[in-house]
Amino acid sequence: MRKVLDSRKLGNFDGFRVLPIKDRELFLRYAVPCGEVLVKRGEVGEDLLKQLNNSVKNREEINYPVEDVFKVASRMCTIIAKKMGKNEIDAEVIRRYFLIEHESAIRWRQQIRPELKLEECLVHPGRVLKLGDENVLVKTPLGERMFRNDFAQNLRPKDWVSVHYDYVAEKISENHVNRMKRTRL
Amino acid sequence: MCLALPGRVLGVNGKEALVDFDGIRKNVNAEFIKVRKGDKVMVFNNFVIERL
Repeated sequence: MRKVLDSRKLGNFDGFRVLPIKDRELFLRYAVPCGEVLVKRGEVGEDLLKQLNNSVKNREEINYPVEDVFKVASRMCTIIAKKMGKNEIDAEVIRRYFLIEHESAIRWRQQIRPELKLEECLVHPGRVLKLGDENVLVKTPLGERMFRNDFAQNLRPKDWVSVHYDYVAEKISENHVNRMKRTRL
Repeated sequence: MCLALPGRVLGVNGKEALVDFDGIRKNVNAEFIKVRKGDKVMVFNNFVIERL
């Protein structure tokens, strides 16, 4: 079986400098959901992931070096930021990565490693159908299902949201939805 | 999950590198990390993101 390395295996040997993440909460809203895969692989402690999850959920200050946990995403965001002429990873860069370019990244990887799961890795747009105490029923391109609502606040039926793995990441604008759809045609 | 794939550089042409992924060869962008023939690299979304 071919070997796949993840972010935890990446060092800093090449001198590549990851740009500072300005909006760490937004970054974690998208990164934490797939962090559960790292926990299952034994590469991130469950306690750390819960701590990061709770920090976002409770709107606490995030001081942990999240770049060290999600190195591939932070390096890709750095490349996108540099292409955009920025010197930090701000909300625009984070959304460009997770809402737009993440799709092509996952599909690129599947060309080489088709056995890796595709659909659950993707970030999808969706529309809120029904709100529960901790979960939300969302209509996505893959169908209707319940998602955890740890991060988004003040959601209402018919709101547009982005979903990643089992989580609603955030409420998004119709403009974002249209851009996401265009990249998937 | 943002998993990068490991590969080995077979050649470099400007900002582009030909990388072998266990038999599958792809031209990838090496604009942000300098690489040389023989380097082991991590690639994601057609970009070299790490030289190992």
